[in-house]
Amino acid sequence: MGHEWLSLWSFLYGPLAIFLVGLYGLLTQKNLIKMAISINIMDYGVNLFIISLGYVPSAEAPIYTEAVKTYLPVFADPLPQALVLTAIVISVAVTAFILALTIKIHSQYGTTDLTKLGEMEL
Amino acid sequence: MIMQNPVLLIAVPLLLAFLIPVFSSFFKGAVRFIPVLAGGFNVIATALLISRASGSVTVTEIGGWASAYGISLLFSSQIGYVILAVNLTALLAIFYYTLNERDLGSPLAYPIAFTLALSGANGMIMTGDLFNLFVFMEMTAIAGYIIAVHKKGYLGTFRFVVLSSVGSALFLMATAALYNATGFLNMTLAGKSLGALAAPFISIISVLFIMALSSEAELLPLNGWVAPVYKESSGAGSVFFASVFSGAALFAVIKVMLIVFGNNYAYVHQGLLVLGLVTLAAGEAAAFKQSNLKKMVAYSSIAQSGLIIAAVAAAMRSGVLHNGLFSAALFQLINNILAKALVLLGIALLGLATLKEIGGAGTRKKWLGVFISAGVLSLIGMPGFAGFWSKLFLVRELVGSGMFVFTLVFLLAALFEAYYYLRFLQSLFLGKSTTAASLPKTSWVTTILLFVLAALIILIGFAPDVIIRAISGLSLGGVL
Repeated sequence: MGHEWLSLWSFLYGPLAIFLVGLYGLLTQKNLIKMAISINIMDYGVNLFIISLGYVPSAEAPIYTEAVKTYLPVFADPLPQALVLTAIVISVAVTAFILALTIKIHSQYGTTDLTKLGEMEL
Repeated sequence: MIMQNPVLLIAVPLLLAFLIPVFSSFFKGAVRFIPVLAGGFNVIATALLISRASGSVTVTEIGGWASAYGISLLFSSQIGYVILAVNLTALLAIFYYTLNERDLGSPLAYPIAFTLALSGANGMIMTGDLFNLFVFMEMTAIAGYIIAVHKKGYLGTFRFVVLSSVGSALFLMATAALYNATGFLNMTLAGKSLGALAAPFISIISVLFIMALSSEAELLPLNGWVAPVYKESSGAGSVFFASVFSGAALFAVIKVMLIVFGNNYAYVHQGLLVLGLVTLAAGEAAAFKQSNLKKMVAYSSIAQSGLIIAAVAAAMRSGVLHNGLFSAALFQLINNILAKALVLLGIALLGLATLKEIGGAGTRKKWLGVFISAGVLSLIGMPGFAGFWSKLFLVRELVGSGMFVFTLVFLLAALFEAYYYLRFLQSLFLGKSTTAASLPKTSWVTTILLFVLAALIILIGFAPDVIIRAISGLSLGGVL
C-alpha cells in the first residue's frame, strides 16, 4: 500500500508538481532570468513525466548485448527516453535563445524587470 | 520517380538551410539565392505533386518503417493546395526579403531562419506522427523567434518565446500521455485506439493539444504574442507569421482534431467551436480599436483563425464530417493566407505605421494602392474577389445545417471587419497624411510580387468552382 503511494507520487504527481512549480514561477516572477529558469523547471517536470511513463518494474536498459542471447530480459520502453532526449535538446536551444534575448533587452532598456519594461514600452 | 516523394518539400529546404553557413565561407554572394532556391523548388515540386496526386490521401512511410513504428507523411491533392498557398506566400516573402530587407540584420541568420521555417511549416502540414509534429512545431517556432527579432522587437519576441514554450510543454505532455494510453504516436492509429479510453481522459488530452497548438495557430488562450510581434516584425517576417506559420499551424490543429479526435466526441468539438467563436469575437473587437496598421491586421488574423477553427469544429460536430462546411473552412484558410500576405506586403512597402500616417498614400502610389485594395476587399468578402466565395459558402453551409448562433456571430464579425478595413481604404485613398516624409521607392520587381498575389485573388474570385472542387472531398479520401 505504502509502496503504491510512493510510486504514484514519484511517477505522476511528482513530475506534475514540478511542472506546476515552473508554471507558477512563470506567472508570478517579474525578472526575465527568473522566467527563463521557470521555463526550465517546467521542462524538467514534463521530461520526468515522460521518462516515468516508460518505467517498467525491475526492467533492464533497452540495449541489445551478448547477454540477451542466453536469457530474455524485460526491457524498459526505449521510446519515451528517445522523446526526452529530443525534448532536452530543443529546450537547451530555446534557453540559449531566451538568455541571448535577455542580454539584448538589458542592453537596450537597462533593466530585466518586466514591470519597468512594460512601463517603458507603453 | 523521385519527385513523387513529398518528403522532399521538407528535406530540400532543411538541407539548403544547413548549407548556408558552409556556402558563406566560400561564395558569400551565393547565400542570398539559397532561400529563393528553396522556396522556388518547393512551389514547383508541390505543383508537380498535386498534378500526380489523387483525391485520396497517400501515406508515405519514411525509411520504410511501418506507420505504427515510424514516421509517415500524408499527402493528397487537397493538402497539396494548402501547401501550395503556404509555399507561394513564403516564396514571395523571401523575394521581398532578398530585394528590400537584406541589410536589416545579420545577412546569415535570416536566410537560415526563413529556409528552416519553410521546411518546418511543410512538416507541420504533412506529418502523420504526433511527436514529429512536436519537432516541426519547435523548428518553426525557433525559426520564428529569429524572424521576430529582425527589427529588434525584443520584448514582443520574449512574450512569443514564453507563450510558445508553455505550448510546447503542454504538447509534449499530451503526446506522452496519449502514447502511454494507446501505445501509438501515429495519429491514425492513436485515434483508432482512443475509443477504449475514458471520456475525462480524452477531454483532458484534447484540451492540452488545443492549448498547445493555440500559440502558433493564433487562437486563444496563448495568442498574446501576436500583436506585439506583428507590430515589431519586418515586412517579410509579418508575412511569414500571418500566412506561413498560422496557415501551417491551423492545418495542424485541423489535422489533429480530425484524425485523433475525429470520432464521435461531441464534447471536444463543442468546446473547440466555442473557443473558435470567442477568438473570432475577441479578435474582431480588438482589431476594431487599432490605429496601428500591422496590429489591426494581427488582430484580424487572430479572428480569422478563430473563424476557421470554429467552422471545422462545426463540421465535425455531428460525428460525421459535414463535407460542404469543411471545404468552405479550408477555402477560407487558403484565401486568408493569400490576402493577408498581399495586405502585409503592401503595408511594408509603404513603410508607414498608422492609419493617420497612411493618409492619401494610395493616390501617390497608385499601383500599390490598387493591389492593397484587392487584398483588403478579398478579406472583407467583396464580390469579384476570392474572399467573397469562401464567406458565401460558409454562410450557405452554416444556414443549411441550422447553426444560427454561429451564423449571427460570423455575420456580425464580418460587419466589424468590413468597417475597420474600409476605414483603412478610406484613409489610404482619401485621407491627408500627417507626416511629411516621402514614400520609399518601390522597384518594379517588388510590385510584380504584389501583382502575382492580387491576380491570384481575382482569378479565384472569378473561378471559385475550380478551387472548391479541388479542395472539397478532403474528408472522403481515406485517412483524413
